[in-house]
Amino acid sequence: MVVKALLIDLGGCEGCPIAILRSLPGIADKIELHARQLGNADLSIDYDIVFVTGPVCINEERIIEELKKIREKTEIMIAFGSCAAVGGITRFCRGGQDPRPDHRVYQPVSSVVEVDYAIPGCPPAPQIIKTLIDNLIHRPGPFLRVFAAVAKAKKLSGFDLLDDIVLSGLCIGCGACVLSCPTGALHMVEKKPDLIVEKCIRCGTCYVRCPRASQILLSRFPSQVKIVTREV
Amino acid sequence: MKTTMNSSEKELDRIGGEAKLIVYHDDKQVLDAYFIATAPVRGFEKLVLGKNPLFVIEAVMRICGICHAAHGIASAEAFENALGIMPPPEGRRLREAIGLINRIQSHLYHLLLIIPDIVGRENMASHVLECIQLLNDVNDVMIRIGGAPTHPPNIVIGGVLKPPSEAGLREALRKISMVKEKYDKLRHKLVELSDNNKYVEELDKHQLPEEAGQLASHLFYGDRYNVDPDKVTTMRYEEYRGKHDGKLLSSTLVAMYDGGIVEAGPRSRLSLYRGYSGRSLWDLQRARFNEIELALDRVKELLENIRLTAPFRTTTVIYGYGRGVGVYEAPRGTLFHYVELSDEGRVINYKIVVPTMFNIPVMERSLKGVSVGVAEVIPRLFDPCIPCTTHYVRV
Repeated sequence: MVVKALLIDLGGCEGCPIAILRSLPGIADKIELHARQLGNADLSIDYDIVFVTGPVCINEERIIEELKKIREKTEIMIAFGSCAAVGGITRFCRGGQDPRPDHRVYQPVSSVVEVDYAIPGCPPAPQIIKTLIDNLIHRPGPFLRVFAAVAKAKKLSGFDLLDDIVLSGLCIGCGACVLSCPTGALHMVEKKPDLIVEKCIRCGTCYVRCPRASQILLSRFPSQVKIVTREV
Repeated sequence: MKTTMNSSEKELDRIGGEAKLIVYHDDKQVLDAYFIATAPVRGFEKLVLGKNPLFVIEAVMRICGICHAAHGIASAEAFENALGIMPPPEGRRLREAIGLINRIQSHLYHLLLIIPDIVGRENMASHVLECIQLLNDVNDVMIRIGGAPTHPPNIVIGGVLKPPSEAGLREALRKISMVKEKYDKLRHKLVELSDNNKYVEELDKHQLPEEAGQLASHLFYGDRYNVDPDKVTTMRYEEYRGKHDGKLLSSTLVAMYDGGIVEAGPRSRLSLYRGYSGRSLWDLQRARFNEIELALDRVKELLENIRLTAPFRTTTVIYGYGRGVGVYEAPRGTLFHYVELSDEGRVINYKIVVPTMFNIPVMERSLKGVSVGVAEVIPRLFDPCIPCTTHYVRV
């Protein structure tokens, strides 16, 4: 089965679209990708999956309308990358900057439309796309439930990891969070992770990577798993 | 394409970011053109106010997912200038290598976007995949020396955070040689195909506007003493062009150097530091092809001469009041970061001027006189980067 997918960027840094494009050589036979970067984006046709990257600027009506339209055209919507999934660096945006000082409020995609899966990462590794597509076509695993839960969580950061896992005594000191952090904001101090607060960009990668924290996500936000149903 | 009378408006695809091109024409030739960025302004200059420099480096790298390391290096240079420190020689060398690998990443990504113009849409698939493979190989090198393929965390104030391991360095060098071989083949194929392309033929006849100067500060890295950062001025797009139908709201600013328009980027760099003489529009792409090769050779040279036992970072950094400027040759041209720190070492002023802001006026003037069919290709030749351009205030 060849999945018909659309990649759309709402005004992010382009790092996440590049991550998706980079995954193409490994999945060229499984996916028919439409994207502005490939010159074949078409917002008038229906898709199985839409990858949305970048944050939503609430002050730009055009973007919100476009996003709502796209939601209707797709079976599954995936917020790809931290800005789209949990806000990420755009959680720090305050507006007031020339030439558009009115662009003040940025939110993750799930604050505006229903998102089926949200994948944090700054940017997520391209390898995740292949696993994701496999899961969405024929073998939905627990993997998907975590990302469905993130879509409901809407914000995650290194502070949440410390509060929920380290300070509550659940941490086993495996170091997965340290390895996953894209800015090197986490480091081990006496066998437990510690956060260099100035470096945390609120991408949420550590929280999803932590084996304990992801269990907390599942129990806090129990979600239905949705897969591609179109038969070809 | 929506056409009314003799103007047409098109959402541009295959460029870095969201923008549209409005073209006025007499059905044959372009008479006037407007390049309007439509991406929202995330406001990184305001976002970093009151923050610690450690955060600022991580934040500004996220302005752009294409030229991430360039922003990181320019920012680090600005802080170092403000605090009066310099990275040790090995740190400077490794940082230059990280920056050049970013340059290769960016040029290859641009190549991916421009391939359909060279080979035609029907033949693009295999070439695009080949180009992505190449990009993946370059990203492997970036992981080893930058710490991550995108937004490399190894760029810090005072030098480079972690040097690569000996095995990592060897692997990086092996990959660089491999990339060079593969790139030579791809380039050869594409240049051959572009020889009988009607777009290319026309683009090669049109010259860059005569009034456009050239801006570059260094061939590989960036040097604040080769340009005068005080001569850079910026203005709103509307101030520069006037309102369009009374409603135009571009999310970019336009920059001038010494009061005039300047072209920044690979062609300017090669022209100023390598005696490159071509000034046609297609020379912009020829220069980019050349730059990938030069950058690969230079990275190899840098990595071969790195001493892993020497220090890579200045560890005595005293944070306090200071003002500084970082000038770096980003993939698309000269990038300026200006910073002012408070007594506590927190940011009280931050300004960024990116190369695309210099290139927009040159791009619009280059469009005049070309045939309507080829108009859409010209913005792509300048490789505008909208994520970068939409985040800055006037200086």
